[in-house]
Amino acid sequence: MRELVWKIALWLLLSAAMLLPIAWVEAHGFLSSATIQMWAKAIVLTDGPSVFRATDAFFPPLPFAIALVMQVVSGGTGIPLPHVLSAAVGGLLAVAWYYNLINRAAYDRVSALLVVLLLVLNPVFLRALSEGPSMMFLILGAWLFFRGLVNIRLFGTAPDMMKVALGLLVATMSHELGVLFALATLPALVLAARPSLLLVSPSGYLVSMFFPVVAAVLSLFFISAVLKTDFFAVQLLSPDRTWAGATFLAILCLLPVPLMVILRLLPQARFSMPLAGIVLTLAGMALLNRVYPVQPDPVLVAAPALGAIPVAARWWTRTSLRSTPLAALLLLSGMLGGWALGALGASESRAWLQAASGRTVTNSVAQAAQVAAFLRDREEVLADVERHPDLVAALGHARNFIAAGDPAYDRVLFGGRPAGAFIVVGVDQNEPVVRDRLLRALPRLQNNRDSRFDLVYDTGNWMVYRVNRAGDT
Amino acid sequence: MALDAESEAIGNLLYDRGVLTDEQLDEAEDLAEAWNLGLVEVLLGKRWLKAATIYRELAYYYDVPLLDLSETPADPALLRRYDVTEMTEAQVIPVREENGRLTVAAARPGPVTLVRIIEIFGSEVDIAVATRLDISLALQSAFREEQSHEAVYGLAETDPVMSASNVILPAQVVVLYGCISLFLLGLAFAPVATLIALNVVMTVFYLGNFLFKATLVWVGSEAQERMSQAIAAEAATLRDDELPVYTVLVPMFREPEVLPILTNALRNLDYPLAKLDIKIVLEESDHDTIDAARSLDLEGVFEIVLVPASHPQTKPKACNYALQYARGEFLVIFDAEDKPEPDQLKKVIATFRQSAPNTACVQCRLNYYNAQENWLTRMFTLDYSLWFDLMLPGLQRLGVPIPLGGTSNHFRMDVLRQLKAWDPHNVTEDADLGIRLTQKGYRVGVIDSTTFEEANVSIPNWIRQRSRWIKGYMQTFLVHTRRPVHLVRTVGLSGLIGFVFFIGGTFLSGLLNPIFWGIFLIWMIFGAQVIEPYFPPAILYMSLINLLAGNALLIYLTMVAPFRRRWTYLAPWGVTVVGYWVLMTIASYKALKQLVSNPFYWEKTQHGLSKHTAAELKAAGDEGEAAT
Repeated sequence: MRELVWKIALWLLLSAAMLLPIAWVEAHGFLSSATIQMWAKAIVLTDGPSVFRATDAFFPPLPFAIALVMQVVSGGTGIPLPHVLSAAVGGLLAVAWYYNLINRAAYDRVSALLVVLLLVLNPVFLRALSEGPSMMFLILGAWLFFRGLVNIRLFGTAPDMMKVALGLLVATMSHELGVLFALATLPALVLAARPSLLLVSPSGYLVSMFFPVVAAVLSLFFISAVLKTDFFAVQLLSPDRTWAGATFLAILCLLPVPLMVILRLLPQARFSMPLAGIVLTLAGMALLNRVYPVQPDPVLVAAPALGAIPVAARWWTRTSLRSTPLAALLLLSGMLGGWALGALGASESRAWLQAASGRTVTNSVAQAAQVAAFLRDREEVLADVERHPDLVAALGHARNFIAAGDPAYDRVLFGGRPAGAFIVVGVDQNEPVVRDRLLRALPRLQNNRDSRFDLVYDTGNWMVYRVNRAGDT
Repeated sequence: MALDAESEAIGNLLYDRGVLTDEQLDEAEDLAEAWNLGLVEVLLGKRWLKAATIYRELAYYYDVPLLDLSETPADPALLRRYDVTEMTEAQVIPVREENGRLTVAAARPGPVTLVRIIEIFGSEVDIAVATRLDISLALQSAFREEQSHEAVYGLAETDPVMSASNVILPAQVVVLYGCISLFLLGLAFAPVATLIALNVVMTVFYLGNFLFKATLVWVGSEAQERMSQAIAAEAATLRDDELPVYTVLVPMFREPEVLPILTNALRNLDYPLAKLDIKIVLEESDHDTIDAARSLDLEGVFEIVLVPASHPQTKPKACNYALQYARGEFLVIFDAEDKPEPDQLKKVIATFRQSAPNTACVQCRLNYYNAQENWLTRMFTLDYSLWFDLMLPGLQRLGVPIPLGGTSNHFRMDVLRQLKAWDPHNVTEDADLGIRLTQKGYRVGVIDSTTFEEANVSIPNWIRQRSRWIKGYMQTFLVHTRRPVHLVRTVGLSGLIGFVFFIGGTFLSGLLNPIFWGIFLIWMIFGAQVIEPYFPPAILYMSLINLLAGNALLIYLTMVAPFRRRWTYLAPWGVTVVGYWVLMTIASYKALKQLVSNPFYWEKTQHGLSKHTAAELKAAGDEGEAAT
């Protein structure tokens, strides 16, 4: 019991520490779009109009549900709550990795501390922290899966199977990339399988290994069907040939430790096969992201590889000198991770790097702050809150919005008489397709040519109109 | 240990008289030395000689008459003048009294027995020899009323609050009545709020049940591997001469056909047969099984105990009755069709040695040898694999009271007697005893040794069996929740939570399932608007988690269960466990009906239906012949 209390205290402490790098980049203007999206969703669902009905997916359900609970419990704060959740998962990973190295791999405290410190200071890990809880949960799921994959080959006990299943479940429920990750594990599961299990019944083995993922995906389809929402929150992006190469390179930047352990244990198939399965899973996920692109940032696609490092470190042959080369490789991995962020990362990763190095960047919430200030005291504002999470996040609440699910909102969308007192639309001239559904329904607002509305605020990106009731009888 | 002089002399006599061959004598002497037993005990455990021959030669050796108590029975009134326990332990009885002098029959005459005879009956005695079976039957006949009463009312009279002889106490009726009244009042004055509240309770219960089971599997499986190795290592080093006498109870009722499987399995145990005190416990009225048992002409270590007819006619009552004749330091119950792993008894001894002093019982795992016979046997095997291989070790690890399984539970005899053994009014007396042991400050251990049984192959037979189990769980729940504060004080908060979810959850989920299935059906057919008033968003999401994640988790745990035994071919069948839950629900409602209408009725499970059992019977017959 005392040990559990101590672990919880350590977790809380580390979670608080994880907030520091997040706060640093946020102070320099970095806020990831994933964080803004989740934060806004939580605000709208807990503090928005009671009739609000989301049309976007309840995906990813795991971080989303927790963020929702946090929002309800806290009543809303100035700090983006997804960041707190992200830090909590980061703290959990650090504690779990530390005790795993001590209890399972017999590392001394200093060595375990050094390994974990080098892991969490890896720029890719810090970038994942700022990306939001979805990415952190994906790393957690990947670590659990990798751990189970090696253990199931070595021991084959029920908790090992449950680790594999739980890992896949957490990954699938946490990030769109997690679904691709789960699909990519199929060959790895065969490669890493205990021969005796495969010999008795290959189908039995695979069915039971994959059941959690299939059940999770079917459950999501069911939820999407009954709640009438999309399955995924994001649309598939246009494939980009350059991603695949960049992604493989980014993964390699994080794999010096696992590759070294595979090399050392190559003759022992019971170790090398499941470890090779880990590499195969990561490569497969990157390949699938090339075919079904859900994540454009190669560095973030590579981030689950962080979960492979503690697993490899756990199976590094037990010698008195193992900490030194391990630390050296982790340091190398950290430097390569920093390079990958700048050289291979997408725009948000590059922005994060700038913010991390102390240069100020801009984010959409800051850009929406002015219009949010204008709307703060206005009531009955028609808004497409699902397409403008930045506006919701900047405002910090959604009480004065008329949103999807409200009959007045739906009437406007279907060309009916404008309702409410104000309407806010976001305008982006560079977008090929108009995302704001209100603007799509009332296209003349973009040029202030609709006589039913009077323009009261205009910054180019944001336009606010007062509903003109002069013609009403 | 060197052979004692008496054994050596008896051996020479048997050899000289041509009763034993040279090789048989050598082997018997070697075994007697290795097992630290007398030669006669070794011979009684062998099938070289009929028991009657051994007793005839004993009488010849001691130069005393051999009595056939079936022809000249002992005087019951005379027997009742003496202490039955002392006579049972010494295997002696007074047969008749003439001119102030007693004729005492002994199953094993010799210097030690002579001392006991003088202590019990005085010195004015004539000694005779009678078979152990005759002596035992004479004791059973003379004390049948008292011992039958003790078997039925022993627990109810000494610890009435722990007995299920009263299904429900007045205070429990009041609480139940209060709850129902409150619910009805709620329905009358605030129907929606009441239904929402009920929904919350049921949803939280389901969620807790799912999480609890997942936790059990996780923690249980991790703990057991290390302990199993240590126990196996100690069991392998145990010497036969230091092993104690072990009582094996085999209660049977109308199943003569499976008797050879059991006797053969017991002979195959890696334990000195002469140190086994095997009681085949039969109902007096079950003539077919009695005849079958007698016709097998079993070794002297097998003893038939005939249980007098009385109400309730249950297995625990039969076991309580037979317990009064048990001689072992430890005791185990096997069903007739059981095939325990050979080293099971030694592993149990090793476990008792390694465990805390308050360990009073060790539960072994149960599983099936006919798993692949049909869908039901597959599901039953998955069910048992989950229960015994994964969940019970989890209960042990978390310190939750363990409901013992039907057979292969091994007890310390002193504790069992002290607690008045099994509750004859509870139809899952073993589960009840497990909880009672924990409440009395004892510990139940779980070990990695399996007894293989015959899985039910027929659905009606399965429902009969399962309804009895569920009814027994209901009885157990009612008995142990009579004193909630006492329960918390004795088993702790985690024990209480575990008890509620494991015992209560087993039958409550069966009873509640159709309600939720019905709601789901209504939702699918008539749309969300019908159920929305009773499912506020938070409850809807929680119910969705239960419906999707909870059920998926339980299916997954079922699939994980056979992996430990490498029975991966069973895993995909886990997907069909929903059908098994439907059967559980039917059994739950049958159990509830019976709890009200016929609480002590013992639904008999018919064994021997499996085609594998026929093969087992043939193998047992072949091995039995080979052993003679």
